Amino acid sequence: MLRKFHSWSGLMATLLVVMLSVTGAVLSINPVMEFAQAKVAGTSSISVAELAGKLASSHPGAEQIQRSPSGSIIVYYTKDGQTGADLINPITGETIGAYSNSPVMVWVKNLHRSYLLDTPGRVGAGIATFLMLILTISGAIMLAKRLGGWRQILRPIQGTFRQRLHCQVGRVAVIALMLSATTGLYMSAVTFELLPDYQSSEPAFPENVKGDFPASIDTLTALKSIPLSELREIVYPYKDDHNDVYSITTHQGSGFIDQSTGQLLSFQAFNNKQKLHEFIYMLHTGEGLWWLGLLLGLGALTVPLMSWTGIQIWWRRKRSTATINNNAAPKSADTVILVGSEGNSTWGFAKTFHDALNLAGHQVHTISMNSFANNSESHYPNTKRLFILTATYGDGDTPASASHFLTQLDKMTKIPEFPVAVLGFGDRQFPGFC
Amino acid sequence: MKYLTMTLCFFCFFVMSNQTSARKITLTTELQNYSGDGAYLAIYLTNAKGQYQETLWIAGQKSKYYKHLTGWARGSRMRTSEYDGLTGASVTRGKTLTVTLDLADSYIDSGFQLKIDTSVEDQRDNRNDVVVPLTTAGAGKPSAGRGYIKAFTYVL
Repeated sequence: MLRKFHSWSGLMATLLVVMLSVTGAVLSINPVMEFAQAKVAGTSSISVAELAGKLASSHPGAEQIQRSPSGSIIVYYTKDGQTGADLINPITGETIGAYSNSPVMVWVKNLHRSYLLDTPGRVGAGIATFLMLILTISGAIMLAKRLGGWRQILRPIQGTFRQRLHCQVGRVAVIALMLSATTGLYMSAVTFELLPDYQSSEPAFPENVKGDFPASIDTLTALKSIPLSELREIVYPYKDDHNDVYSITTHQGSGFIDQSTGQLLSFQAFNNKQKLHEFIYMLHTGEGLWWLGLLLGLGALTVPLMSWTGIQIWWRRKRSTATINNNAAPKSADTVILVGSEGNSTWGFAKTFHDALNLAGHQVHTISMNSFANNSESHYPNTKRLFILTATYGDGDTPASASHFLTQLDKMTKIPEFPVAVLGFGDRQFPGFC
Repeated sequence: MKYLTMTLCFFCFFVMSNQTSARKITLTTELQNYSGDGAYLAIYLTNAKGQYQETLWIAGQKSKYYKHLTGWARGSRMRTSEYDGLTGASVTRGKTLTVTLDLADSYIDSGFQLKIDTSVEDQRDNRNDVVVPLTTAGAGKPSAGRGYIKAFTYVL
């Protein structure tokens, strides 16, 4: 049942899930590159005022300074009536180069969250994320069952090359995939407002500002007291508007600063909901936690491999279903063969046996163990012998086609008189083998 | 009761504002071909001192992003009543937004200014991307923006 569920959701979601994971893996490179670019070592003692002071001479038209979670500093400015942005060395205040969003990454991000289809695409991505989570969980449960329980989860994996690859890779990537999928699902739920709003209230815009001539930015008391490492964003007052203020956002909250007195006029700390939201966002994107992002990206890269091997395993299993020819009716059969199988291989043996008995002139009825009727006397009146061919699955578990057999057996009121022979298959590495 | 009074007030306001002479204004905003998602725009009126008067149009549906339209957000205090029925989809890069609305005559040639604040996800916010005086003489003449806006024209 779980296997069918796993296969079908996998087949349905393949394309969507592979697109999500490949784009996700590409995006995971971003925080690493940003981190490598940002010169963050030794910035802990620098204040926002100090850096802004340095920028005042190099970027007289500065309008906004942003510090990304990885620590890179971007200054946005207007020069000769046109806007621009530069990446800044936080220690020296020197320009590293012009900053711009890579159009390729913007495109990949849109592909990742909406398949480039805007709102309908976002719904699709949300559903794909859900399927991804379901596939991961059902896969993990199946693997545990195959290996004989959660405690045995690290045991060597048997099977064909593809099965081993599928299970082995899945076993390594399961935690990364689970984290990506749950956090992704959370973000999808936030987008569609299925979760309560996380945003802290905005600080009140100050009614009374001094409105005097602006002081030089490096002298502002509030900015001197904020270390650069705490900064997220500072927006300068609009040029020549003495009643305007600096708006500042730090890791703690956001507020306004008077441009002449340098006082913090109002400040609203982030609430816990917003902090939690930002934490989950960081887990998903790796922004500010580049190594985790990279690990999740590597985990996501296993998805195309899992899909490919998964489809092949499913196809082989489907193809190996043996069709029993000349299956006699239960009433006329002198021999009944019951089959218990998980991966269809026992059906292969049953078919060979069935054909051989047929050639020897017997009327043979071959069915799955689950289809066995408990009123055997009336259902199989001419039966002289019963064969049971069955395998164990994992550590002595019942295979799929025999899952109800024991309850059927319990309901049997009269014990049939024909002889019964059992042929057991199984995996020798388990204590509960056969 | 409070609601009733408020509704009545609004009703009176609309009736009265309809009685004062109004005319059609068509706002045409063409965006640059910047790299990024659709832009949020706030088109609004201020007096000569730059004090907020009235919202004309908000492009962009998600109100949680409105705080990035800085100048407008401060003036309007982002009150829903300020932009109710005056919103539409965000504008994709390179595309043109055209809106036609009724505007009170008293705003024209009286020192009022048309302003546009713009914002794009993961990119800078532009307060006063466009600032133009609202005059009969300036109608039909395109003016350049300094951020995401390539050209803005109003026709009276």
